[in-house]
Amino acid sequence: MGASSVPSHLRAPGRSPSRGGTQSRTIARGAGVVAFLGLVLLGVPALRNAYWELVLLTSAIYTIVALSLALLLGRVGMISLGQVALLAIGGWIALRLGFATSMPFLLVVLATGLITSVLGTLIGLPALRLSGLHLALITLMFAAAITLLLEATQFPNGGSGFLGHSVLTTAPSTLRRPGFASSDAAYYRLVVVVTALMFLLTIVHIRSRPGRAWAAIRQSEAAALAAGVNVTLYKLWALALASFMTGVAGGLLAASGGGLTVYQFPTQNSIILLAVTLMGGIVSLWGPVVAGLLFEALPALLRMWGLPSDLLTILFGIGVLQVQLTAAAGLASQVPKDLANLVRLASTLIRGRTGHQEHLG
Amino acid sequence: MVVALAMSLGIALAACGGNTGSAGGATGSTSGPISKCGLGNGKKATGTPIKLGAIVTKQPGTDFTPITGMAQAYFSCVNDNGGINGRPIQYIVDQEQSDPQQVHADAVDLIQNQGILAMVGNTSLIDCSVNNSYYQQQGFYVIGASIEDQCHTSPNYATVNMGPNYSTEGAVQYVVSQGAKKVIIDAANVPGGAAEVHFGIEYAQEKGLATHLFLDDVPITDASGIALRDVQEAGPGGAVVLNFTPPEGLKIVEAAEQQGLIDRVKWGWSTPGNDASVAQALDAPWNGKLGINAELSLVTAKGPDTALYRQVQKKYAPSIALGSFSEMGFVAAEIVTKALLQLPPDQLTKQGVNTAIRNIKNFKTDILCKPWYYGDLPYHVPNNTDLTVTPVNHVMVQKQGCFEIAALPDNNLAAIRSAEVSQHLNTA
Amino acid sequence: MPDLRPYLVLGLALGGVFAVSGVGMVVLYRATGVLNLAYGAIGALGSLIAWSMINVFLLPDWLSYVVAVVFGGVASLLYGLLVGPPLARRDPLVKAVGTLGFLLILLGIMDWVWTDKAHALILPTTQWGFQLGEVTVNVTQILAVGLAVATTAVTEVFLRVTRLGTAMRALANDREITATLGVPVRRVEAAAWLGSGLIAGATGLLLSTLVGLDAVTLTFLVIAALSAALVARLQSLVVTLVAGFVIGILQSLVTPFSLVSSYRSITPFVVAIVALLWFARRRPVVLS
Repeated sequence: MGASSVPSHLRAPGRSPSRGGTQSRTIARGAGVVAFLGLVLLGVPALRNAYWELVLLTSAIYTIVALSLALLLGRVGMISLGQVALLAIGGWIALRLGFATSMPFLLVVLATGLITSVLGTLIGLPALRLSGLHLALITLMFAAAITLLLEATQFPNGGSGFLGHSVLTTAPSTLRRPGFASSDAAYYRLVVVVTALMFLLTIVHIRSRPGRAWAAIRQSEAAALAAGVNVTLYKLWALALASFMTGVAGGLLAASGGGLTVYQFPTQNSIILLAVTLMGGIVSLWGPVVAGLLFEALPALLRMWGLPSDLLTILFGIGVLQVQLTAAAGLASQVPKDLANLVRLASTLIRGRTGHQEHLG
Repeated sequence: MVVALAMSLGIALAACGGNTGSAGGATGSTSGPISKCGLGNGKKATGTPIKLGAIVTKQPGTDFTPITGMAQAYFSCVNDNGGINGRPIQYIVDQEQSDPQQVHADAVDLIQNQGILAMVGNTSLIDCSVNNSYYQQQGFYVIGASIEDQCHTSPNYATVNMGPNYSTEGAVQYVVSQGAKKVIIDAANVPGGAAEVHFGIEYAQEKGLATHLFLDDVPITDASGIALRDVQEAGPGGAVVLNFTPPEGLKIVEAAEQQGLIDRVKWGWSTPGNDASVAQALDAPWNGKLGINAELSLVTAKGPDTALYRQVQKKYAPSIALGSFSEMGFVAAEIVTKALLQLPPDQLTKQGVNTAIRNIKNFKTDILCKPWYYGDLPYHVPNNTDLTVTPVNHVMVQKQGCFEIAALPDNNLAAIRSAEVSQHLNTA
Repeated sequence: MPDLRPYLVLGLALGGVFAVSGVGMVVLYRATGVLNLAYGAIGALGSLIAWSMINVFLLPDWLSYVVAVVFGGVASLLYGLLVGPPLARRDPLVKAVGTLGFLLILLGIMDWVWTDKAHALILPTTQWGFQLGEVTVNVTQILAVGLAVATTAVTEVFLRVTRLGTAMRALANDREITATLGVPVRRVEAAAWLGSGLIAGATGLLLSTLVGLDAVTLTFLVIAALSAALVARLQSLVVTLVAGFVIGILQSLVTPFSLVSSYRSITPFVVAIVALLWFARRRPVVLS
């Protein structure tokens, strides 16, 4: 629909207008989500494997970051290669708050999200005029600059001064976990719940006015402007939401393991995050879940099997090329379609055979 | 005056203990100039493997895998020579890139999933701080070759080396003994980079000298600018002391040679500089001008353990450079092998092995200046006596014999040395 | 106030690094509309191959250097032939993201085969140098500067005077119309990919010597070099050249001031961000 100007991998799939079909599909989808959440919340800790709890909770954290990227790119059409840098900033803020105040954990995470949201919006404000390649480049420059800045300022570790970093200690920069979720299993569950809340927040936005405005902006900014949509406001809103979620993820990351170091946020990760988000899919909301698993769980799996994780880097590179070349909607959209096709094929075969038998009988 | 006194004390102590060039102090060998791997009986070990684990940093600009690689080489040699009373050692090494989540998950995986009996050869920028409480909780006494201060202030960690903090202090002791008027320390900007050289700064300040610290990102990309800046800041009569891994530090010293800066200041380097690749790369202008603090013996020394080290490297790990790093891995592996060999089969459990490790005393080897020990102490710096080496004609030679690293108010060495004496931990 | 003169000279050498990479990327962008973010990775892989040829297979040095340069051209050409045509009509962002995929593939290969072990490749030209005040300048640094200037000059002349060059300029203006005029579009683009790749291979060798043979560093150095290209709005080769030198000098001049020395590597990125924002200031809204 007049979308030749929009790259096809950014276009949303069409929705079928049939009422009854939509309702039953929504119920099925809802049931699927609940089942998945149940598996994730209860099934994984039941395995009593601390290693995988740590891996999967980090996976969930990066799912939130992938969600923010998918929101910006898939819903609004704004590319950002700076989400990993924002994650680092969120982690920094959470640590600074954690050392400077005695706020409870959840409040620290919420405050981190809000502050990161303000920062992300302010930083993004001058870049609003940019789009496409130039927006990608400026966010990439931002990511590289933040990585270097962090190498100089380090993360807060209880020292004094604004930077809160004491050079006289090699103590790690960790945020205290909340009392009710201090064990690995309990913290894992907390992270999953927060991740689900982020998805809920996103869905609420998509289904209401911002979502419609974003869809209009993604199709054509000029047309949206002509139609009276306040393009600047909604773009900023998207930035604010994406930055908020990434900030929350940063707070969760700060308390997840042994602390934060600048080595967790290399420029390379910004590119890999883009790769896995594209591969997972930027349209379906399951895409970020796939992206988080690709980013964190798959390397852990390979390490368990003794395979080099460099194979994954190559795989992600091929994935990016494939998405660009075929304008694919990503694994999260593709796999269910493939499965549905498979199911249809199987049922046709089965029906064919029973029909034959009836005929005989 | 004080320095001369300390040095003569150090030399006297060295005469008492084992050091480079002495033919004694072999581990379990009968006679002859070369030690044996473990039982040394030439029989391949079969049976249920004994699992040991390690966590090691490997990332651009910081690669400690020569340490675990050499430990693996020693274990392979042991497995070819009867193993641990018939059982082979399986050494599981996790490489990490300073991601605390990953490092913690690795420790959990090794101890809980893989079921290792001991952690040996850990060399990581963050393992000590991230996993220290976890090791205490699990009752693990780690034999590492580590970096952070946390490794030297924990009851559960003892290292075969001294770590950059003490080693840089040793390098500063050397340049001060050569008459430096101002000390510049240039270190890698890695987690804890500044904390890990502050003993050197303290020592120089105690001597009344001006100091300055530069932290540079690694991998280094502007070596010429860095070398020039360091030399300019040191000024005439000053000294520049480096704390970098071999390939990174080489960039700076080679740039200094290219720019003709060698003779403008005195030069020092902490223990990573004691590496065959460094000796081979430096040309004649550097002869005798770079004072490298060596926490372990010269790789060319004649002692039986050092000879075995060269033999094991040649046969099992020819691609790993001879130098401080690989020596550390070798010694750590020797120490744990000896402890395991002395245990009855039913004690080869997590608890049995770690108790045995904690009770190690007077482990003599010509690779170290003084015997190594673990002991039941609140903190461990068992290797606190070092030597200085320098490159001459592409080979490292000794410049100063074993000398004690100076005790400072906050570096625990005074307390440790009195405990050594009272508990007979490394008596000559 | 420390003596800044030696840092000025060192800055020119650093600037040569930025300039030569920037010019190579702009050359390709002008002919194909593709900003090849894998430019540094191509050069790095070529240099690593040369390293293996010299140190593992003990082949002669000169042959290895030639292979490195040729590899750059071939790898770049292959990518251009395989991925160029399908993406030809898409917007520059899609094409650039494609090169990010290429970057990841190359980086993965380099990490896998050569791992993180330290490698060194020092061109023999580094042995020769001369004094410029307090600083010794070696021939490799001069080569970097020379290659940047030569590439700019030759390419400018080439684009204006030759038929192929004119065809490339037409392509950059409007691909569709150029095709209808009977210009062999695919062949022209292939020539641009090959040329840019050869320069990438040569750049890789120079950077390995000047900066270090480390896959990740060389791959992402291209982002800093991009700042020079962005100052030139991805258009003018001469501006890219000059901007590269200026940025290099700026970064080097920061080195001796201990208060800001640790932040010196951020210089190119700050310049890039300022340039992007400055050039966008009059744009009211985006027309897709």
